[in-house]
Formats: sequence, structure tokens, C-alpha cells
Amino acid sequence: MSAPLAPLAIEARSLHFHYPDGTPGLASVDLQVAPKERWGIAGANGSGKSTLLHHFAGVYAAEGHLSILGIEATKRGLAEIRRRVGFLFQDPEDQLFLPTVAEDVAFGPRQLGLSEPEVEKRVASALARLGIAGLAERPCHHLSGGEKQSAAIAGVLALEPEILVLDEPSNDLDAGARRRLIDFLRGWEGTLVIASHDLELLLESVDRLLLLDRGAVVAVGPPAEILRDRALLSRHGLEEPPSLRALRLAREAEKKAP
Amino acid sequence: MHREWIDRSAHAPGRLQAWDPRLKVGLTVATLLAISFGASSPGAESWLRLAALAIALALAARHGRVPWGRWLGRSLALLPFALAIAAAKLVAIGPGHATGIPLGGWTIAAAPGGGEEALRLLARAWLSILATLLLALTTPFPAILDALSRARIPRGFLEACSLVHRYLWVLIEEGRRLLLARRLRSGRVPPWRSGGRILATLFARSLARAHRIEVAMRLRGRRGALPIGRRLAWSGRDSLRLILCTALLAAAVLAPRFGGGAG
Repeated sequence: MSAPLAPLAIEARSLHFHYPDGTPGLASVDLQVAPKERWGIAGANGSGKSTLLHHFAGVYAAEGHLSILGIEATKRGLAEIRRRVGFLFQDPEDQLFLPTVAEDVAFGPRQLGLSEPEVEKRVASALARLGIAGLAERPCHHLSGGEKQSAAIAGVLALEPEILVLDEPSNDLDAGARRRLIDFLRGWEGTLVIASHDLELLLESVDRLLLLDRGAVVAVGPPAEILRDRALLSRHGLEEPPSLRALRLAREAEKKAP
Repeated sequence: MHREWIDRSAHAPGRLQAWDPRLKVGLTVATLLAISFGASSPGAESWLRLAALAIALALAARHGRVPWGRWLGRSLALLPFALAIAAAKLVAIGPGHATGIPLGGWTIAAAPGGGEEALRLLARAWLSILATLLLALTTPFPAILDALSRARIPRGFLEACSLVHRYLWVLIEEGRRLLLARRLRSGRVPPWRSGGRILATLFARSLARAHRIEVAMRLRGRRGALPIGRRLAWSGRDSLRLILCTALLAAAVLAPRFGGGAG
């Protein structure tokens, strides 16, 4: 007898969405993300990246078909999806709503009804994983941008999610904090979905890239392949990332050289 | 920065900082009551009582290694609110005053004993501010909320306080940026001309942020209340402190009466 197939991490078929004022947010998105796959979502402003991520995190019930870890994203399934998916907001200020880092990281586990020793264990483990154990008792409003971002990620990790969904995680990070973030993402072993304008970050952190424009999928493939296609990027309001551009210019110069 | 100074002082290794927050909140409330009701009538007895309470506050501040200059400076910054009320004690408005400025059928005149009453009111207001500020400077805000939750203050109110404490400074920073942006684009705009629009923008942004925070809470499994009211450990030393401080406070309130102060 063969083992039962594990459900897809994310499966969307004809997923669409309209905002309350009627503005279309997503237009018939089809997508299949296997467990432990690492996906990036790129697109210009207003392309629907955040809206798509909100669907994956269980903010909205799906119009069309969407299942996360085999759970239908209907009103009934949203609570379970939220329990199993960790979502990082664009602005960590929105996510750090308790006075100190430790209290904030403990918020999710406490809501799960875990025992206090288990909560403390999860908090310590999440903080240690991000190398911010020393910030535990710091008030959230005293942290730097990078520290806030790390604390917000720790709050998500403490829930031990199976899928990590990040919305613009490198916003406002300096080079050091950004590098630490990339290192963390590369070490993450679960399913990962990142929406970002930072194409370099996507190039380094994901294996598959989805290009969105006006709520519709316009390309899916390996990041380097899509991000090298200057015509495609330009048509959808994006630009080739600097590292690929430098590489291309070097090769062109090499060819021209006698 | 202001908030950092307050937080740093509250987390400093002073001896008062180590006291149970319930004890400090309780003693602050008792001090405020003593200031309010112990010096409400004119006479030397009230002034002696205020002096005794001021000494008690100074001793407590020393015990908590509170930076004196800033403690006193900040307290004075809040005093103008009390000045307006104190000024009202200086004048009496009504019929039947022989001298004064006529106003229709009434007369505005200097209130008899108004100067002493105004000064006493100012002194009470100042000491109350000092006492409250001392609590803030020696107790982290979440610990104050924990203590209040044990006193059965409604949770909804405490949650609102917790979120205001967390986001007030974010809002102030946003306000500063808006003000700066406006100044840079329009030269020197007096605050009263730009204030309304900035407040409206801040209100709209706060609403949007409140929505995002609510979604963030839901996504992390919020089931009702925010966690306020952590485990607080009352020690034998705290019991001793309670007895000692209550005795000192009682002495400060009662000593002037037995000491023959004119009432």
C-alpha cells in the first residue's frame, strides 16, 4: 500500500478578490506550492502581492478555490490556517503590540493555551534562533528598525508555523540587518513565501518566483530566469536587479573586448 | 528622549524599583489622598502636613535614585494646568462685594484668603504630580498595569492604556514627521494653522494602523483579552515596607494635629 500523499502547502485555482469598494485585487490566480518549497512574489506597487499573502495567511476567505495545508480557506477554515501559517507584516510596529519583546513573542503561544513553561521555552527558542535573546526585556518602542523586524519574526516563529509568509521583510533594514535576515531565511526549513520589491533578496532566498501584475500571474519560474528577462520586467513595472545587471554588463564588455 | 529617560529610570537598579508594584501603586494612591484631603482647609496645619509629605516624597526619590533635576523639572512643566485653576481662587464673582470691578449686577473682587488658598492648591497639585511622576520613574508601565489589574480595574481600560503606552510614541513620531514635512514645503507655518490638518492625517493613519494591529492580533490567535496581570511576587520585605510606609504616611498626616498646628 502506498503512503498517502501529503497535501500541497498552498493550492490556488481561479482565486480572485475584490476590495469592498469593488476594486479588483486578484484576478484568477492559479498556483501550487509544494511543502518546503521557497517562493518569492514580485510585482510593482498595487500588483496584488500583499492581498495574495493575506489570503495565504487566512485574513480573507477565498473567492475561487484556495487550500492551505489541505484546509479550505473558507470562513470555517480560517482559524486553523492562521494557527499553522506565520505572517510577518510590512511594518513591524503593527505586529509588536505588547510592551516588551518577551511579552510580545509570548503572545501567540499563550493564545494557543500552552502551559507557562512551554510558552517560556518557545520564547527562549525563538529569540535564540534570531540571536536576540538579549532583547527579551527591552520595551518594543526602544528597538531599532532591524531589532523590531527580528522581534516580529520571533513572534511568528514562537507559533511554530509550517508556512512562513513575509510581506516586504527587508523594508527599512540596514545592510547588516538585511544580511542577517537573508541568512535566517536561507536556514528556514519549512515552506516559505516572500513578497518583496527587494529582488536581490528574492534572488538569494527563494527557488521559485511568481510575477504579479494587476492581480494576475504573468510569469512563474526560477528567479534568475525571470529576473534576467529585462523586457518582461519592464512590461510589468520592474527593473533587472543590480547584481544581474552588473554581471550582464561585465559579459557584454568581455565580448566587446578585442 | 523623554520616553527613554522615564523607562531607563524605571528599570534602573534603585532600591525603590525593586518594590512590588502593588505596594508602590497603593502607596501612591494613599499619598494622593493624603495630599487631597489632608490639606484641604486653610491654616498652618495643612502647610505642615504638605511639608511632611514633601519630605516623604524626597526621601522616596532618594531611595529610588531618581534624577532630581529632571524629576522636578518635568513636574514643573505640568504645573501650568493647575495654575489656571489656582488663579480662579484669587477672585470672587457675585453680588454684595463693596469693592471691585462691576460686571452687570455683580462685582469681580479679590477673594478673601484667596491668595493662601491658591498657593495651597498649587502646592497640592505640584506634590500630586511629583508623587505620580515618582511612581512612573520607579515602576515600568506594564508593572503598573499588572498592579492595577490586581486591584480589579476593568480589563478593557487597562488594555486601552497598554496600547496607548505602546503606540503613543509611534504617533508622536509620525506627527513630528508630518510637521517637519509641512515646514520644509511651506516655510514657517504656525502650529495653529497646520495643527488641524496634521491631527486629521494622524487620526486617519491611526485608524489604518489600528486595523492592521487588529489583523495582526487575529493572525496570532487572539482569543479575547491581552495578557495583563502577570505573576507578581509579594515578599516578606514588601509586607515590612507596607507597615513602615503606612506608619510614616500616617505620621506625616497626623503629626501636625498633635503638634499643636493652628487649624
